[in-house]
Amino acid sequence: MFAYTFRRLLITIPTLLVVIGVVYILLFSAPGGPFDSERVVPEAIQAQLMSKYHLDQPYWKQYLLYIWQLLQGDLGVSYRYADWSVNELVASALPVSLAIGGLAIALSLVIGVLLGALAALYRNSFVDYFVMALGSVGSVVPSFVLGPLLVLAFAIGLQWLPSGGWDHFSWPFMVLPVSLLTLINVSTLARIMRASMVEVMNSNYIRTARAKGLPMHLIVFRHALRPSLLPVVTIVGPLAVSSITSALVTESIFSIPGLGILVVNGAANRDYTLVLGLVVLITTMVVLVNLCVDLMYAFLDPRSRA
Amino acid sequence: MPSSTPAAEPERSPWRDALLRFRRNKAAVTSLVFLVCVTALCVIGPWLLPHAYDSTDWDALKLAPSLNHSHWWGTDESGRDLLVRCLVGGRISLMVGILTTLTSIALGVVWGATAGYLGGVVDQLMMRIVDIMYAVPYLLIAILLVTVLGRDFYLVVLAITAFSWMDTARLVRGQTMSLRKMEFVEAARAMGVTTPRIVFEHIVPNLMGLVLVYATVTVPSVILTESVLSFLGLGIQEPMTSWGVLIHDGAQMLDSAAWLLILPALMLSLTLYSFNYLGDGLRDALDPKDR
Amino acid sequence: MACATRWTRRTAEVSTHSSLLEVKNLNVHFQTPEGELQAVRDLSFSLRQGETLGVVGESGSGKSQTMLAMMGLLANNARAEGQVLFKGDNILNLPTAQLNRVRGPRLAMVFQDPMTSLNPFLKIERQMTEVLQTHQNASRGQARAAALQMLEKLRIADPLRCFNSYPHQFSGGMRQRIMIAMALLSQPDVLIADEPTTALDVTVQAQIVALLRQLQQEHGTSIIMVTHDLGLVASLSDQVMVMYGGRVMEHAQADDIFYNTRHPYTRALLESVPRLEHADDALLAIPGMPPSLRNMPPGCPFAPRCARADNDCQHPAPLRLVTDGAADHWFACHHTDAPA
Repeated sequence: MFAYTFRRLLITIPTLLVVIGVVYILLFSAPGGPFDSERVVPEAIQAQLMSKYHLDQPYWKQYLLYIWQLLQGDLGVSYRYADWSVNELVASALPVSLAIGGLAIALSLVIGVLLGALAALYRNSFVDYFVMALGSVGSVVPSFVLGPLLVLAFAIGLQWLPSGGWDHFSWPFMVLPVSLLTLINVSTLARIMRASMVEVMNSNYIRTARAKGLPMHLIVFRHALRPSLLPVVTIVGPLAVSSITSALVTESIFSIPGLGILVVNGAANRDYTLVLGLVVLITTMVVLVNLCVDLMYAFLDPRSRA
Repeated sequence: MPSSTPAAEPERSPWRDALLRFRRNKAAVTSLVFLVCVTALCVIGPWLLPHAYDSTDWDALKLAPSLNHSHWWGTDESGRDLLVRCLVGGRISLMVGILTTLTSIALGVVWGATAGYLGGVVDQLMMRIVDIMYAVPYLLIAILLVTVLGRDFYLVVLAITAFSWMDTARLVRGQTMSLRKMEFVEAARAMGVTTPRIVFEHIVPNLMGLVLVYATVTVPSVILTESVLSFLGLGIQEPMTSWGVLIHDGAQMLDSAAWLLILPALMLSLTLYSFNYLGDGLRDALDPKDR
Repeated sequence: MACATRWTRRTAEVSTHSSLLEVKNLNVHFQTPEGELQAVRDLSFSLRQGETLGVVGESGSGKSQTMLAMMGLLANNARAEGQVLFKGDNILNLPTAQLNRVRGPRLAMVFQDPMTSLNPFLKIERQMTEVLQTHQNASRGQARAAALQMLEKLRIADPLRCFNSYPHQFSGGMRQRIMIAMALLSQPDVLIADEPTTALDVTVQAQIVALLRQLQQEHGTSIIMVTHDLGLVASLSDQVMVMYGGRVMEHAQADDIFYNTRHPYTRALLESVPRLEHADDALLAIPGMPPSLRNMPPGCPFAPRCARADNDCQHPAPLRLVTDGAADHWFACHHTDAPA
């Protein structure tokens, strides 16, 4: 188990370095980029950039110094706002995104797995058709359409909830964003869980379990659940990546002051270094999540530990 | 369960078989018809309609859709006709979709065929790069590219292409590897045909069917990416418009003019849905075992 | 059609010995997009304690479906009719909770493919002890002890290490032995073995067969052995039932099947087994293919391939009873004259 983890880490780290490198190169050498000599930049920012990013050094040194700086946890400074470092901006935005994202993922996993399992065990019942329909809708209606529709229904139509905004984690502002994210994820998760469980329940080893006269609850929870969950675990990785897109959209729709809005506004303002720092941060998080997913998979499936 | 010997069937080319199977799939045929209609409307429609997409009609601000006046789909807060804007936006969205798909498919085919045919270290390296590309959250990089390079139409296409070619590359590589082992390639090599010629004249034509299916499925995902970018305000720029931009605008007007969101969203969703059904139909037609 | 031999329908017969397991008029139907198909037609047999029944047939003859029907393990689109009397009580189509009192502890089954029949995610120990914990309310410790004992009896080396391992760490033969051990834990009255050795090497086959015979002698377990291998049947069975196209073609004591063969299909099967002493002769295969369930011939299912078929065979042949010595010998053929 330990050896497996170590091997995975060995592959992950170079990937991360390459990605950061490419992004960095793009940013700092592309024509019309932030450090193009033709760009006119206010004095204060110029000085800060010079010292922070070592622009007087040759490229390769710049890059290494940047990596060193990253390893120390320093994400750089904003290109637009002289007094702000990326770390400070992230510090106020990250908890918000984590709160909404974390809650949404937890809810989607629980609800998705539950619905999928029910649909598989009670095929062709109401639950089953509901789950199939949900899966269809979720895969076809984009999040940026679903979000405004939710606002239309619940905030404008029924007026139960605010249509956006944020007030120190107070729950009315969290309901719609979390619901949107959950809805998007549940449709995929439920569909996958259902398909996976149906296949497991038709397998030979479940037939053996039934032949042994085991009661249904033992068959489902002890024999069928773990194998059924494997494809679900596999999808968590790609789901985390797509959650980024969903988060960007959700925070935009509901004006949530999280990482997503920071990225979008940063891009709109052409705040290069902020966007760079954020991209590095988010990519690192994604890579770590994928690593955890791989480890979780190895933990669940004894066959893959070879 | 073995059955009794069937009567021998007349020989048919695989393409004719595929066409017949496709025609039997009603959902796929309907989707194709729908897409053709939408494309035709988007291209020709704006010329036939009385309003231009950017002309403001001060007498008809935020008008609800109705057949009684000339603005069948209503107007927005500046008095611009929604129907025309949807069709013009459709032009842009579809163009981005098709252009990006063409370039990413081209890139994917060349990349995958080369890696698959050459094999060995070159293949390993090329596929490692593909793996790394997969690990990167593409939307973020697309946003980064747009930040640096600007929001020019062709740059948007470039930014999206950068992350859409990997699926095709993987697929083509796999197919190339299995085709490479087949005898007709050996024959060509024995006759002294050079490597690039083998790749392009022998291997690529055999991949066309599968590539077609992939292209059909890539278009909606590309259109979706462009729509997300535009929705975030980072894609297509004014004065050009796309479905994503229209939905973004519509979302601001939800409480007073909900049709500004719903109608473009409907067009987008139906188009995406149709592309997906079309792709499924093509895949089933070309390879019925692969359900 | 003038018929000199008296014939009776099988089902009305009352066996003089008390049977442990009695199947009466079993029919199995499948609902498919192409319509309703019948996999098993009017099948009956009875099994006494300590007896071994060999069920022989080609793929698609319905033998596995019969066993699955008895165990309540048919697919969702299948329907079974008839009676399966276990110690006098009908267990066919019983609700799961009640069926589970018989299925497993009293009527156990071992399947054809040991590679996929054990749960790859659970250790062997778990899969074995849960049987006793469920059916005998044993504690974990008691169940472990009993399971270990059973593994030793089946001569599985290093039972403790086996306990802590996962199925994928074992060979096919070992897995099949574990499956058998698992099935025998509650000391069932009947063990159904569905092609238990088909997926295994010949040497391992012999071991498994010896094992089954030994267990039968020690515990008096009745065995139903489903197979297409006549040699296997010969070495183990008391009664033999030959199936084709979902019907019983012939059913008699083992010796009678081999030496007093009545049905043309059984005769053809016996002749198709290659024999060492006639190594130079051409292989006698039965011409044609077994019928697809969708294209069942009217009348006798074997008629299209039978050398003795005539117009009578367009109508299904009822099972006729002939008595060979003291034993019943049933066969379904219109041609009632001398052995096939």
